Amino acid sequence: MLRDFSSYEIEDFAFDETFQHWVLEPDSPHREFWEKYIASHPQQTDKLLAARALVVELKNNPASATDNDLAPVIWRNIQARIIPVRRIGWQPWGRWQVAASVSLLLLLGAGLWWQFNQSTTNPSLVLSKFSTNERLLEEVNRTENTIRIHLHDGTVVSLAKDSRLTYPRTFDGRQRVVYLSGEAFFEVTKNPDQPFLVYANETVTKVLGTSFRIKAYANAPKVVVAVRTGRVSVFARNDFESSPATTQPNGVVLTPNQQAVFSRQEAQLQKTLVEQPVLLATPAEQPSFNFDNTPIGAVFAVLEKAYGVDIVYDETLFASRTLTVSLEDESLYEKLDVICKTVGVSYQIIDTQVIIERKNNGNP
Amino acid sequence: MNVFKQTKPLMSLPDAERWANDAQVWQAFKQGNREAFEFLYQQNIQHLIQYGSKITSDRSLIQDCIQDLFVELWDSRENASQVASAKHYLLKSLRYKLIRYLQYTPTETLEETKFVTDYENGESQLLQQETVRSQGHLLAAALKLLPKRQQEAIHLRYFEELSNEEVAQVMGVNYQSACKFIYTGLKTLRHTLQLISLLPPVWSIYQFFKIL
Repeated sequence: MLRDFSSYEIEDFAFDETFQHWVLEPDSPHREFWEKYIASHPQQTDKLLAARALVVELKNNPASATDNDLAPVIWRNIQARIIPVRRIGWQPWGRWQVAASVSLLLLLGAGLWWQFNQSTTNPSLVLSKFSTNERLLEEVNRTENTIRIHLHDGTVVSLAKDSRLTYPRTFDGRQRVVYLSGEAFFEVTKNPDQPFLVYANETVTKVLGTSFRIKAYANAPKVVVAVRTGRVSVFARNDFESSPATTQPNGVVLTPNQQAVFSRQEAQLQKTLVEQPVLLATPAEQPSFNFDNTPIGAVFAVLEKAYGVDIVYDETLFASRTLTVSLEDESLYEKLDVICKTVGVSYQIIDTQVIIERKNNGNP
Repeated sequence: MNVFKQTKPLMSLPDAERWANDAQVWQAFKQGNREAFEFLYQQNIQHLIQYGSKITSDRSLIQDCIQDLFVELWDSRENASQVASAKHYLLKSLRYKLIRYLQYTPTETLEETKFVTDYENGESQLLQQETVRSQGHLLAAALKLLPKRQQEAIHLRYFEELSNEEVAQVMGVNYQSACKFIYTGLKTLRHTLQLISLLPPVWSIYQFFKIL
């Protein structure tokens, strides 16, 4: 310490960390230093004692008294918010969630009111099926896991985390209508008389009975509808709602392993293959992927049937070549890789089609 | 100065002895031990309320922020990093929450609006306060005249017994700023209190500077 202690003011003493330690801790290692200091600077005694008193007072400041009322209240509130309530998918609500839900209900109410009024002039609007006396249920998945929701018609919805499904208690109208925000896999019970509609962001997905996945997060730029089984129609919501009841709106029809990607910015629907096409048939009726001197055309035919994809190729590429290869659990794309490497061609996916082409024309 | 000070929990927690130090409590809490979590709460709640009251006088805001702080702490316990001192971490987190909230409310600012440069003015303000009765209240009243950030720094340094370095860390300012808050605050306190000590009716100031 290089400071000149002889001219210390009260605040200089009080500010000194070793001084404070000496004042508050009887066994402080700084005790010797400060006792020596008093002995050698008697003229500083008053200031030093005043500084001592100040440090003691600040430590025992009544304004910093304990608050015994608030602590238990806060603890009870914390307990209420961290103990998970035994109701699937839900957690006790904080004020923000309450506020969010209230505004959601208001929005929904306004939307229903609007739809209800619209429907008197435009009967094609599906939302008129959400009549005002119908009880709507809402499930929000705040857990880390996917939760399964069983709807009244037997449809099962696997709701991903941070996703919300709004649906009526019973499906009474001509159509079955639900709302999704987030991601869910739908296994829809077949009922040709009562189509099943999923509203998700700016898209409407219409099915009769099938299974498919929708990803429609509120803040994501795209909505993706991917089909596992059956046929699914996907529409831009604007087109769907503005088309007259008698005509089918413009949309895309998807078959298994196809998906529709709706770009929210451009408001455009595009059809592609899903990232991981799965086998369509049940394990028992799986085709064999063991090829023994099989003509290339026949190999592709097996793949087309197994995955429900179109494989487009120029037959002159292969002439009368055959293929002998044993494939099993690989994905569609892995199988295509093996076959194309063996034969010496390459492939690319354009829209929903696999295009086989000559190798080394541009990118390998 | 880095003194390990044992703070007594307010509620009797027989399990408290199970954890020898901060690091062990924190580790148990991270593994989802609710008793450790409660221990952390009981050990620090008074410090948090007192510190919060140095930043804002809005008790319900302090309550809300402390609730949010502990709920978030519990929810993210698995990702919580190991902390050197749970208390410092909690104080700092509470400060961050309060400041963030206060920045959006113009009614109470953290600007040094109450900065007292004129000691006579400070003295007269002090005398107007009815609380100037006992020595403890005298100091409390003098403290209230300080700018918020000086009050806050002095609270951390002398009540919580943090070092200058730790005060700087909790307040999120550099070392020099923290020292300046503390030192300037002490100097102002000395002036305010000394001036009053010269006034005959205020006998208490004699008590204040009385030899221990």
